[in-house]
Amino acid sequence: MEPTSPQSLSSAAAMPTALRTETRTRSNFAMASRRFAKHKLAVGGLVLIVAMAIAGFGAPLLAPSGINDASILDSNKQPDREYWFGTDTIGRDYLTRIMYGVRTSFTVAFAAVAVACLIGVPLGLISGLRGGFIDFVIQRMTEIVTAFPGILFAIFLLTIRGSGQENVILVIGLTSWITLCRLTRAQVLTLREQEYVTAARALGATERSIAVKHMLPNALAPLIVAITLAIPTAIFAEAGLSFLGIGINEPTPSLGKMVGDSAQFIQINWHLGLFPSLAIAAAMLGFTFVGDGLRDALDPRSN
Amino acid sequence: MLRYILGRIAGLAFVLFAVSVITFTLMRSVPGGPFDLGEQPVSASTQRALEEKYGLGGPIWEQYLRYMGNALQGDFGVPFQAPNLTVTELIMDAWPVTVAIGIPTILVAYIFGTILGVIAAVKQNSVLDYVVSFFATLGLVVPSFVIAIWLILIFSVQLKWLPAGGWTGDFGRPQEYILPVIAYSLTPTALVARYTRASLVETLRADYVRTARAKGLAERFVLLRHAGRNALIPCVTVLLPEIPNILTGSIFIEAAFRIPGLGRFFVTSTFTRDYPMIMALVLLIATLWGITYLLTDILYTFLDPRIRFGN
Repeated sequence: MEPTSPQSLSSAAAMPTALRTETRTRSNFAMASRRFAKHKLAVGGLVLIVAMAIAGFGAPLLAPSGINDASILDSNKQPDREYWFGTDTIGRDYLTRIMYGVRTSFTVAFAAVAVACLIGVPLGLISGLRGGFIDFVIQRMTEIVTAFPGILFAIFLLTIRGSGQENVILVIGLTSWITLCRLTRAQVLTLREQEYVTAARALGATERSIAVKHMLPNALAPLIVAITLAIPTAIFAEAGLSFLGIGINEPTPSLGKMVGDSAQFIQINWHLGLFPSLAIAAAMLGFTFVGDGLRDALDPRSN
Repeated sequence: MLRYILGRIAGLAFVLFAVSVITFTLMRSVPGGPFDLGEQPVSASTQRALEEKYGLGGPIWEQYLRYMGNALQGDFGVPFQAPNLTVTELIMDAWPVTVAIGIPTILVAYIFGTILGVIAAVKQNSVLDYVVSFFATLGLVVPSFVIAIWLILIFSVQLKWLPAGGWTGDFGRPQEYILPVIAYSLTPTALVARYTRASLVETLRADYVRTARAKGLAERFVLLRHAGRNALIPCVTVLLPEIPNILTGSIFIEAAFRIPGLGRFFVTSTFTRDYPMIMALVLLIATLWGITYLLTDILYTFLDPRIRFGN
């Protein structure tokens, strides 16, 4: 694609209209969007997660009842016209609970991935830029964290700090920064050898400004993909911990906890297991498809 | 080669050492201990006697050295949650159950994953290929406990063919294996299928495959003898690191199907501050993980002679 320079603009102006529209320069963003739009599954995934986000974050306005409203006389109802998804064991509208559950799930996942970024990306940058002893130490650190059974670490931290939303976010963040750290380091190692980095260095740019201004923007595409794909993993982690009963606590709704709690009633009240499990699967598939689409759109050379 | 392997073993030993030190200090540095039972307070002297008995007296490094010294001789101590047994006995009680679910899971994953991957690659871009790819994505993305719930809803609630969970006797009944193994094997099956497909598609484009076809060899022969051998390398390297995970069990599968395997100890041991049990579990998993990684790398060089050690 041609760069937008005064010269190309003036030559384009001299051309007939039909030709001019064809040779119009597109920004990187526009090109990436076009590639993304061609990826049907990714667009479907995007629609799915936007719909879920609206239902979840808009729950205070959209949900049929209040988050903790319960009418014990209506408990354990199968789905009907009044309660589309039925009611739970203490008579709360299950559709409402699931909408708020999606909100919990998305909030925890976004926040946890943000924590993972805050740890992983700077460590990866330092590791790749400095090299030597610091690199060695950080690399051994990632190895040790990988060898350590993550689930045990999570249970351990949660039993010490107590469960609840903030601690679940912290625990998931602390166990999922490795991939981002490794990726950032690998990117830095490749970019460090690029000519424009050498040029910036020759012009007297500081290491810090090279890292932030020159390398980070160029490492961004694969990082965005990795971050998008870290979200379904975080959704899974939250659902899993809550499923085991050590994540999010009542009365905060969590899809994983709903699936876990449904197990003892599943023979009679099938809807208690079905709807939250479908919501988890939909969220994870949605983000995964978007991540795959972003990979094709932002980083066409990979794959 | 020997030097490389020895170096790797030294690296592995260092990681295990670090993991054990971190686990040990993490456990002791947190508030709360195994003997501060709220309802039944014990006198200070009883507490001291208990600490003495379970090796909890003295500074932390001394406790660590004592524990590791015993552990290296195969004595992992007494679990606080079952003081009449040893940690080894407690693990040996539960582990066979986990392994009994794990081995069929590995077999299913390897056999079905390879078959599905080969079908998808040979019938590339056909409906069959898309169906396989769709199920592979589903298996990779959807958590095992969600799949477990769906299987229970379909096969035990609706169709009433199989039990919804439970475990009879030491090794269960055959029908109690089916749903857990399906739920557990879906992810590794999907993983193997995906890598087999990708690798076989790549191999089928290689020059030597074209040569084999040009010689007039039957397609079956080309696939099995020429392409298959190289295409299956990634399967080995992808599935092998999963084996220690599968053999130490999934806490989710065991919770969903109420299987009395190793999984439950992860939760109970941390809740009861069962230090010896936690240490034993962490060491068991980290050791298995390290050994498999080493074996995978060594096996890789046998399967693909172009790869050399140390580079």
